[in-house]
Amino acid sequence: MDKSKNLRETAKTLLSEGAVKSIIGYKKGRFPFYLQPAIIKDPEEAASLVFTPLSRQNLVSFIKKAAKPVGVVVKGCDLRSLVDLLQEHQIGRGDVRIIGVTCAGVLKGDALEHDPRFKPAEIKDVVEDDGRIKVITSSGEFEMPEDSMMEKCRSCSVHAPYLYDDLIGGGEPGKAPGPPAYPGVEEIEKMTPGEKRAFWLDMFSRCIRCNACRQACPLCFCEECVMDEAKPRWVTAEVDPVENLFAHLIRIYHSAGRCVSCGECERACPVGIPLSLLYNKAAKEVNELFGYNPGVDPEAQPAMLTYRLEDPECKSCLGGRNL
Amino acid sequence: MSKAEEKEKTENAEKHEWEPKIVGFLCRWCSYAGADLAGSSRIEYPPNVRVIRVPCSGRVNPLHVLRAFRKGADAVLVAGCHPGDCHYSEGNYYARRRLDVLKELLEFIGIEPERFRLEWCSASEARRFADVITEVTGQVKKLGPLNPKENKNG
Amino acid sequence: MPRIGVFICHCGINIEKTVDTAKVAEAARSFPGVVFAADYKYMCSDPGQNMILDAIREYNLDRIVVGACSPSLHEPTFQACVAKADLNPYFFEMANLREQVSWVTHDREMATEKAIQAVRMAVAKAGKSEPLASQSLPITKKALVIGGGISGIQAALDIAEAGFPVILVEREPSIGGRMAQLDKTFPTLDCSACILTPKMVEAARNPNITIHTYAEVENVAGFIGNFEVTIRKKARSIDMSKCTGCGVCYEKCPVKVPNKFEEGTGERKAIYVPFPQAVPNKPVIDREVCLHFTKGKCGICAKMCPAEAVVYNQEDEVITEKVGAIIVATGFDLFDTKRYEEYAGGAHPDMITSLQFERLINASGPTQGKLRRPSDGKEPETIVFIQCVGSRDDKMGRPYCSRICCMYTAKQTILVREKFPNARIFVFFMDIRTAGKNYEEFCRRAIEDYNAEYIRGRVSKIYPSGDKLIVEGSDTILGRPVEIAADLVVLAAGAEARADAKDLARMLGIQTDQYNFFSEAHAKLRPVETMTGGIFLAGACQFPRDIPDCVASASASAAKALALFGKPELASLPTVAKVDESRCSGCMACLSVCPYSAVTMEEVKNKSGGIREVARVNPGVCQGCGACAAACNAGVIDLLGYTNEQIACQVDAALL
Repeated sequence: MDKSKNLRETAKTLLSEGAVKSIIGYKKGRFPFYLQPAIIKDPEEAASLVFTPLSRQNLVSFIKKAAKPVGVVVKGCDLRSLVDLLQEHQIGRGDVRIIGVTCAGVLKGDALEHDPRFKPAEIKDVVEDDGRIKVITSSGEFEMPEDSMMEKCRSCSVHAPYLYDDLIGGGEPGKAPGPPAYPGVEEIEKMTPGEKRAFWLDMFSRCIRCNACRQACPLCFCEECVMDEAKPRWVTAEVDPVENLFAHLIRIYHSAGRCVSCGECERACPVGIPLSLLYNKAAKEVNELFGYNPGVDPEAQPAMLTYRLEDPECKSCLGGRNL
Repeated sequence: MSKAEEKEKTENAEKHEWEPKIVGFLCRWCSYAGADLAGSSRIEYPPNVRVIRVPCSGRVNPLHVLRAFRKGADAVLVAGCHPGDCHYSEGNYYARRRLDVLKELLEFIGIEPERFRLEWCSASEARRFADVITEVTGQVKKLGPLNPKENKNG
Repeated sequence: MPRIGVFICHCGINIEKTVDTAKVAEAARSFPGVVFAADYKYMCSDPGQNMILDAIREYNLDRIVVGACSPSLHEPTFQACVAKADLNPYFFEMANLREQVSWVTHDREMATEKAIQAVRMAVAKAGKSEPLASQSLPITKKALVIGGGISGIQAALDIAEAGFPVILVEREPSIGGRMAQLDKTFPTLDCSACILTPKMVEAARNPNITIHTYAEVENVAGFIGNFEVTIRKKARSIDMSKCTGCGVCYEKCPVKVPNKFEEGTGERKAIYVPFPQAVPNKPVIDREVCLHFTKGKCGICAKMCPAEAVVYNQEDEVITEKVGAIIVATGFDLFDTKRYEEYAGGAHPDMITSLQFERLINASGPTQGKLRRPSDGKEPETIVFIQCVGSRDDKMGRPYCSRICCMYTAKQTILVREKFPNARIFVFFMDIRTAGKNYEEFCRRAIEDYNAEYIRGRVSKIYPSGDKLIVEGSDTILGRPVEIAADLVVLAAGAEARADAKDLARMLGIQTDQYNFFSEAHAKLRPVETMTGGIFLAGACQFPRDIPDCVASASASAAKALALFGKPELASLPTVAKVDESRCSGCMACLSVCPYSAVTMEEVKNKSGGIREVARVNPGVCQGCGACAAACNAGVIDLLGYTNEQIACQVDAALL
């Protein structure tokens, strides 16, 4: 089934019938190898919408700005951040039309750039064909290898959304996903404290504090970020590995029990800091300690806003043991 | 070197031995009262803890813990009422969740688990309070200073 | 820039012995904002306090820090002192140099160093302090009591007798509750109705008490001293002002259904009074079974009624009341004994619950007090009582002891013995728990004087055989299996929370425990208060309780309500949470973690004219725990007196 065609028809109907006031989707960018987000209001604009293996970006980030009710094109993975926004009262279920799309996986940001078989300039289109990703170029068609897909796609368990109003691309509705894999986290955990500090300070020495990670995060919805607060000033503008690391730790702690491992922060980072490792670490702990998997149940309470009497005691603490 | 000189030298060395800085957030109902009782009972413990009195362990914003480490604390202690005893009924349960996660994150970036501690200490547990401070101080002395700036290699 | 004065107390030699107070004062002079610092022998003494007052005048100080003993001792003293100089009490900070420095540190140099740090931190905090004030809140001096059992009646009477109006809401057609269902009471064996009905009548007659029976609380808004409750008075189909309670209507009603009051052992009509001593003693029509409502025919009761009091088209009435205090006395449910499938598959006519037993042995019950086997009406010769059915049983999710069953079972064995001198009476028990005035003696009497045969052990199986029920168990004292052919088996069903307790808790904004019983504010020191100000607990809705305990807790809760009514007005806590609404994104994390339901979601206008939702704190309800301030990712909600900024400054100062 041609998902783009399917999507355009649905979008056009929704807008012309007044079911939504705006729709957030993807449209072609200036070059055939990237897509850009589009917020459309006119049914005629629906013709510009596409859904391809380049539909990387999580569009949920735009939801607060769009005219309501808003339709939003979501992949199974993006849906989780939408669920979180529903949990955190950032949008009412009645104000959002979930246009779910079945997705076989999307390409890594640099997958096309570094392929030796063709030059980016030769690319005409990127399509999904029966679960495989094909690049159509002026010098022929190429199938992309599996490792050209984003990390999260390779272990994806939500190819089809499990909660939607419209389902683009057909097929069975998805099941609510289990906890995602947390790739790479264990390797860091195995390091000694000194190695960890060295590793992270090295990573964060690259950080230029551009806040692209924050900008890209679909769950950063605060009116004013605590990091911009003056009373108290939690972080200084000083660009220094330690300050950078602690500034990021604030965001990472704030993501606990909410972060749905969408990877947008890492995707947005211009200097390639492996941010997902940190966010996934928080997500992994929330899952292991409290059995909570964010972004699944819109009715559930985010993990840090609730507790159970039988929650585990803090590991190094005595927890009632006498010294 | 005479014996007296030697003794003076060791005493000086001991006196100028590096002393860890420990920030302690104590809930006013249980742990702060427990610390007061340690005083009234004249139980001696190392002077390394700098106490911040809070209404409840649930008041402790993890950002304050991060700030303490950032500003040079060698260890941070949060102490509150035992589960089930919270003056506000449930603050310590929230604290436990938040600080459990925070602790894992700190460990992940290379801050040893001994440097961050969440403790339950009631108003009657003066001895326990003193023992916790003694233990943490000892552990941190063994680990050495945590100065992420200078201590890149552990 | 604040102008801070620092005063270091010697506390005689208590601090001075190990802390060089002069050096501490000297160090304090260099702290940012400090314009005056001094040390003195006894800061808490009159001369000490005068020293503070003089310094405030002389140096124009606006923040005061005293380094002395623990704030739990003298913080109020010094707050009062600075208030004399027209400074806000929250401009005062205390550094604990005695309990947490001089008394626990022997090395003078180290102690002095620690004291300097403590003062530095207090100064840092004081520099960021803001004036705080309590608000005066009015109190509506009227109480709502939810539940008209013995606990609710007692609480209502106590409050009414003190001269305050009470609204008593009961969802059944009559007040009386569980106690009205009981035959005799332990340990005195006086008849339950004989001691309860006078109280019921007294409640009905008391001009300060308004009783709404067949009514339910539908909504509760507001906070301590200022609740607004919505009560739905279900349509009784009777004009209460006309009805004389003559009873002709239900004599002639053709419909018979099991009577809930009789625990299903007897029947009632579609128009009925649940029991003869009901208050009000006026009937109600059960519209679910009445032929007039189900089939559209009949109408006998209306025809028979000499007072023309039957009103078929009566509608529910919804009323609102303003009250200042709420007492929750909603009682308990009985454990569903059918869950024990090993006991005759869960049900058998000759296997009854303890409460059914009460009805069957009660003179006004369905058998006029003649205890007979329900299956064939024969006199029972062998009766087996089984304790802990739905108590102390982990696999049923009821690990707790129901507290009343040991005693009522002992009572029931005595009642049986009085009727049947030759019957064999067996009791299976796990432990006998008879803590209470004259309780143990009572139980011993049942065993020794009334010859109830107590067997320690669990019953594993009950099954019918002929016209008997075979009870298989073990005697764990003698270590042998026991098998008894019983005519009647009485299951001592445990007490559990009302099935809808959780809903009521949510409506009231109070907590429940893991079994859905309502939670008290403090297990030891605030046993009848809830975490929500102005809402108190009475009786078995909190945990299984016997009658004396229910009455005691009811009077205790009434005393708490009266203590509230005795005040001219409420002063709210000054150190409460506060929201900066302009920066609030309305995620409601604060609302989720607030144990007091002090946070509400409010709609405000945007700068652009749109509506957005923000959190708002009711300072009258907030208890200042600060859980919200730690939960708010944006730092939008903060705790006054312990603000994020103040704590951050303390952290910074601690590490200088």
